[in-house]
Amino acid sequence: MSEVIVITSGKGGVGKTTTTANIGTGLASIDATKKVVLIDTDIGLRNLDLVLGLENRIVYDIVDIVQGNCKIRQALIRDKKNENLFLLPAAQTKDKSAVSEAQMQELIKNLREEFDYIIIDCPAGIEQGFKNAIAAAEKAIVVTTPEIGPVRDADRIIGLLEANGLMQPKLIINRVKQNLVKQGDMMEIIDILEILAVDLLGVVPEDESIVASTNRGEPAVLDQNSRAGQAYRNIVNRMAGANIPLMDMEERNSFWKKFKGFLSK
Amino acid sequence: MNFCNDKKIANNAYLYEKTVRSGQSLYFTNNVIILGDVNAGAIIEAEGNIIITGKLSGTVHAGVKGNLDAIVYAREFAPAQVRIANLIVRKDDGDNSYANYPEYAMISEDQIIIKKYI
Repeated sequence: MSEVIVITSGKGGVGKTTTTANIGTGLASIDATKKVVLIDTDIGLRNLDLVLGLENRIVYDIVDIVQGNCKIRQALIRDKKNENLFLLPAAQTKDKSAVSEAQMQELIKNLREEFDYIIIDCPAGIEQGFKNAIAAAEKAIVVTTPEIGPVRDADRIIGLLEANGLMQPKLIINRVKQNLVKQGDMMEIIDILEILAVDLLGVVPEDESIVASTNRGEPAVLDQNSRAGQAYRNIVNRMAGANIPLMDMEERNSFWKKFKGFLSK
Repeated sequence: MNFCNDKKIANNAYLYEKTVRSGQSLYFTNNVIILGDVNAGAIIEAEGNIIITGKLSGTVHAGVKGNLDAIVYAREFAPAQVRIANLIVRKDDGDNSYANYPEYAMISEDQIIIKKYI
């Protein structure tokens, strides 16, 4: 029985693609018996291949499949490290109208036969790309950052998901800067949950190592020293059914910062 | 080295005078000379040779219709993929380096090789 999960946000730049790469890589690495496919539906502005470091392997893409230029398995790209993780890349030279909702449904129906997890990376916006991304999804994960714009857009997206039968999406709050929250300069997690009224799947701290791992094409979830990676590992384990408490958002060196602050007084 | 040995006489080249950016896909029925760069995410296909006077970072396919003698030249040669006729090579993972001299790709003994252009 496969799970079809769309990762969406409304707002661009909040970390949908990074989240997709990390969740997919995480799911494939905690259970080697599960096959995972990540679908990039951001046609014309694809990025997921870069985050996974697979750009140089792309020959066929999702548009080639729906146009009948290739078979599905010809377009699937196996991950460098995980035998059971695959990418279905978007086309870069087309636009969102190159794929219809019915074609997405047909494609995912076929992928279900082979994959346990089908994770769909949704483009920003609420237009055709969003409609395609959610067309065949059964579950949704909404990514937001603790700022008023992204939270407002997340609320809009949750409404649209529910209107399309995707009830009770799960929320990931990304790029939380705990020092700003403490100063009252960033929205508190509890405030966001009050507005959005959905289940929290995880909270990911702002982590500079994400920038480096993204540029290297190696998802942070595999990096044992990355705090964001730890947050993604927790998220993945929760998705697999484990009951794991939210991680402490404090930065690890906070003691030393406090200590230095004390000295400078 | 010259490109114009007996098999590779290059006439009828199209002169394309712009940088080709991500998402752009160009097809040429003959040879093409790009006066500019070919950025990552761009695709150039030509039935003949592809000559790039700037940096090649994208994907190029020379000899699309099966011309095994087609070549790809770039002043800075750092493509994601090079295809010639029905063959393909890709950039090494994590390797963003490129030579500080011009290079070109051609088919030799059923595989694509990349050589220094002297």
